[in-house]
Amino acid sequence: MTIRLFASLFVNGVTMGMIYAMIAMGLILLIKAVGVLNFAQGDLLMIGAYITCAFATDLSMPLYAMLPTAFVSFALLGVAFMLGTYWPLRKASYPVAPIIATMGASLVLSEGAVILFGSWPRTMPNLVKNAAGKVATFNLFGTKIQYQYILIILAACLAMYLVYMLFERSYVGRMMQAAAQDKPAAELIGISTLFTTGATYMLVVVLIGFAGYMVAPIYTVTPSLSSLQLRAFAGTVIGGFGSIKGAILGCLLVGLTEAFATVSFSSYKDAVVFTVLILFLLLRPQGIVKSRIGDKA
Amino acid sequence: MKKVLALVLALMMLLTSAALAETVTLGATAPLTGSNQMTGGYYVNGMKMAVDEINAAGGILGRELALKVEDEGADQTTALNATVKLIEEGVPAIIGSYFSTNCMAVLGNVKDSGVVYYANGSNPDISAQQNPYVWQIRVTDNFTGPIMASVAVDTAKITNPAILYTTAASTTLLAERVMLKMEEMGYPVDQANVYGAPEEETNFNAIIAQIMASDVDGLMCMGVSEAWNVAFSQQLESAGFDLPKVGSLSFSSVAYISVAGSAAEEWITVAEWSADILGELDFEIAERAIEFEKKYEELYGIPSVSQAAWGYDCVYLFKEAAERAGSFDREAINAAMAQTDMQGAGNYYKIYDDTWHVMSTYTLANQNLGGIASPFAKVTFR
Repeated sequence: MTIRLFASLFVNGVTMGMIYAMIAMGLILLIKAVGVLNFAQGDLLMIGAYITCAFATDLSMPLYAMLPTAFVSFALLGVAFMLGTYWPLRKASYPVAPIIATMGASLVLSEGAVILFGSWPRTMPNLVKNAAGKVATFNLFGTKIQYQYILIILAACLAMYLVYMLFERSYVGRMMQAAAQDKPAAELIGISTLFTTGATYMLVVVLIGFAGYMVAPIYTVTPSLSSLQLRAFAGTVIGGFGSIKGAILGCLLVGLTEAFATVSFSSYKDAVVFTVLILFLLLRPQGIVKSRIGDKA
Repeated sequence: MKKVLALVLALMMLLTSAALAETVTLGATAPLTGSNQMTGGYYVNGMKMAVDEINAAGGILGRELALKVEDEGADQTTALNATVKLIEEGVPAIIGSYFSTNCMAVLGNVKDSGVVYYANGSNPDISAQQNPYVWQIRVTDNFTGPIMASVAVDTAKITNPAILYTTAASTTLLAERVMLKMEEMGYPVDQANVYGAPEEETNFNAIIAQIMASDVDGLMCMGVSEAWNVAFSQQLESAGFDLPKVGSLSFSSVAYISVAGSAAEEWITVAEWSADILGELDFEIAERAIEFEKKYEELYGIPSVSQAAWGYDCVYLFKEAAERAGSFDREAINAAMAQTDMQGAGNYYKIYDDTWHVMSTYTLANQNLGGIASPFAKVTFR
């Protein structure tokens, strides 16, 4: 393997790992807040990509107008998603009902995307272009790397930092953590679980929609973008279920494994990734980072 | 009052059955919903154009031809249900799916019912089953593969290619046939330069990085869906790949070219049909093909695609078989299909001894230039 190839695969792996990490962060936030494993996470990313693509290409909105509008749309979608899949079922006698609801939502979102946006792939222009209007790249050890990849890595880091600051340094974040850890106690001291749950869903969908926006220029926007969630699931488990730090590390590992697996196993790279997952489950089931907070007795 | 109502009802039923007796219904399955609905629309357009032409000329054996299209959706189960529904409605023939997996799924039902089935998938396994009622109009992958290899070597001057294929059955077979022919021609393909990617893959950058880092002199690509092709082509363009590229049929489709934009330019393709046959050509093309394309563009305002030509030709194959048989009985039409000898819009159809019910005769080599796949050669392989 040449240094040129290594550099290209490494950057590709880290970029995809960061996308998976953003998906995984959303997954864990929802699990921690409401105990729901969201099977529609990938579809929400796909919808985010479609929405931003529609704003950017169909409506030709400039970036300074498109991003805030998109974030507001994502937040509203998050509330709608919560009201559709979680809130009516939160006290259902069948505890997995909200999880089943997300499976149904996944189908609704993917079919809905085809109805709303058509079945054909859509292209999203790159954010960083060169003087000729083409994709801007730079040279790294003799290989061309798109600036979009670096943008994704930086944007993902920023998003993770902001989420960290929200939960660790802000009052709203502490309210959300309190409600997630013990709902009845939180209600007793005046924290509205409707507010904190809604805020969590909004945050998750904004995060995942933003990830869809970042990934759209390097892929094409199709309903199959939702398949990215499988790798995010794998990264979440490898990193340590329940730990955001672990999920980030796990997803980076998944991204790099996927990239380097194409060298010898291009047709079976997914099999390689999930073999790694199985090995982790067998040898280190707690994941890379063991969560410090366990379930209450 | 009740007697009057009963009389009116009886009269309506009589008139309806009389009208039905004047009509023969040809069944068809097409993706009217789901991810393939755009090409499905072209498919149905081609069929409708043929049906209208036939009816304007007096129908078939004195009867008006009606078309009943059932939605095959985007999965085999829906395709199977659509076909079974048509069989149970008693249609004499069905214009089947252009997806090989859907065709394979219904072969058993076709054999049990004796319905004449025009299978428009390209996988040679469809005809290899030797189902007496299945007629394959496409150029099958075992013919296309060697032709692709020859075009790559002779036209694109590729002797050490990278090969990327969708890991679906038909494209895997196509890739194998390409590699076999390359070896026969004295240019064995290095397995380290062969890559597979599933149909739902959207991130090709790792594969592209390896292709760029290798010493290949060109790329050959076998894709199934336009979405896959678009994603790959655009990522290839972004990576700055500037070597010759040869692609399978889906790389010449109007839908792919319109979405991929500049990333589709200069791809050389082997495809049975090109809408750009109205311009100046370096080879002879059938007059029927030109008439079809002119009429299609006049009627629908857009160039056609392969699926439109296939749908159109299947309707005429049915018409001619029914007229030879002198009836709409399934067995009679099926027996008459064995005497097929017809120049259609998309190909020349005949029964050959080298295959079971595979009727095509030639294909086209094209290059995507200025937003359309322009044919530059006609390859007659039998």
